[in-house]
Amino acid sequence: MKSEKTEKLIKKIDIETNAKVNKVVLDDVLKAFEKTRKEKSAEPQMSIKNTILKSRITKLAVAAVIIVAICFFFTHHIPNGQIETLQVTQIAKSPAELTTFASLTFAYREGGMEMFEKMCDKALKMTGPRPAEMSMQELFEEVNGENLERTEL
Amino acid sequence: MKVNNKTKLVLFILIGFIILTLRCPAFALPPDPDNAALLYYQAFCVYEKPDDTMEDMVRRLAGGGMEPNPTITRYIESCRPAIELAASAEELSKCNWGLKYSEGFDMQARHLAEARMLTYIILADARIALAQADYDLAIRRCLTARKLGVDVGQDPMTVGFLVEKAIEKMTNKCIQDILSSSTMELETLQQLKTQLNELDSRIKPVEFFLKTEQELMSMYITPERIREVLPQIWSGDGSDFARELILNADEQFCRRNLAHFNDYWSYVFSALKLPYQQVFNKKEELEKNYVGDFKENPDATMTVILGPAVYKMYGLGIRSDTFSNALKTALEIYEITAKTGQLPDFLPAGSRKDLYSGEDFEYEKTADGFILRCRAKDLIKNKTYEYEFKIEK
Repeated sequence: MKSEKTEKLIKKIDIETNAKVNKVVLDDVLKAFEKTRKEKSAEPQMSIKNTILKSRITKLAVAAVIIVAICFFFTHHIPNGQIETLQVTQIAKSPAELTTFASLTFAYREGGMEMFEKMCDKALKMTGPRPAEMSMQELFEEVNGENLERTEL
Repeated sequence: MKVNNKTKLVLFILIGFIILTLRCPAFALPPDPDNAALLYYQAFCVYEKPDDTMEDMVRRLAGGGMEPNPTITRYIESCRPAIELAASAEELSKCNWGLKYSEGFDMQARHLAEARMLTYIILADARIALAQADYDLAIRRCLTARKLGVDVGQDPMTVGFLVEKAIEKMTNKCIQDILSSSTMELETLQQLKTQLNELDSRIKPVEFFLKTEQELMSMYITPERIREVLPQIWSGDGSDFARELILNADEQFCRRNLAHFNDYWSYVFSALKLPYQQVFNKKEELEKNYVGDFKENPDATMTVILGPAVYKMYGLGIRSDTFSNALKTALEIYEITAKTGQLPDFLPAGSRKDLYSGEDFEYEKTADGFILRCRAKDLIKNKTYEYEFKIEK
């Protein structure tokens, strides 16, 4: 109802327009619109931030959510093997460090044959499985990084 | 004149032959390695590294915990070049792993990890041969693995001793199973016994390894190097106190600790000359006098930190050697059975001893074979061992 009345009122107004005035009006409108848009988008952010900062429980809840999200990301996005490798590399930087005289000797001293064998197994695992077969073509590709054809002499 | 020409011709041929013989080495291929370790290192490089599932299967098959299947047989077949290289190494008496002892703690011993895996592969192949009733090949593979074990133990490194004994135990078990499921010719049995005796004559006693350990560890009981020991200190009770002592160590501390360390070793070496039971009687005294509380006696600090697990190592050696003795005694029984067609009533005279008691094994005939039983307990495991052998009829 209100919009119909406004429409009728506008129709009754007798206004003369020109291009110059139109452009000035349009620019003003666009500026005002842009200003309002910026203010509106900033307002909710400020209010969320304020809500979090003001309440202690909300702060804790947000921290918990972040921690859970990080844990979720690592458990679901890194394969198990990779996690194991990460843990192993934290203990020793390379497989070579696992098989030094000191590592093996003190492993046996600490945990007997079981620990000693685990160290040996870890060292082998860290170097990973080798491909079952490798053709000359694949070997060339791996060495040169491209698909090379046999050169005819 | 005619004779002269003939002589000239003969001389010409002779000189030509000599020149040809002298030049021959220039065309010959370089000789094969005379060091078994070089062939083992090649074997470590050429076998396909198994994934976790395959590795588990290889281990179980090698230990007799499962029957061969087509998947594992295919995998072992792909490892054939590695197995053949190890078999070639069997023919060489010299084995030098080329370890850098001067590196001390940082010395690389990766060959030990690789040797264990190669042993599993070789013994898995032996088990496949056994399942296919190819007993000769199965025995050959066991001897290849056994030789690898002996070669690992040629370097005077205590960790090498551990791997040697682990390999010895695995191969003994495999030979035990082969003997129990086949009827072997007398000649094969005698040959196996000779080869086992030959290999075992090259096995070094535990003292050989412990002496190197003493020397190697002594390098670190000096004011210049003592702090290099810090990363090796355990994280248990008293570790902080030990760290503090080492951080403040001066020349006097090192001298007194080295003297205590050497006294400890003298005691160990004299104790190890005794029979098994008496060695263990000395254990308490050793712990009380030499590796006691270093808070009360700071001179014992480095002995507590660097002294090896002597009794565990000694126990491992006795366990393995007793199993080998039981196997050789069993071979003699199999020989008598092959000759006479029946099991003997008593053990043959001069048979190998049970090292726990120092006496002959207890021999018991069963419905399908015989048992050799130790007469005294393993004092570490608190267990009396018995070895069962079957006679295939």
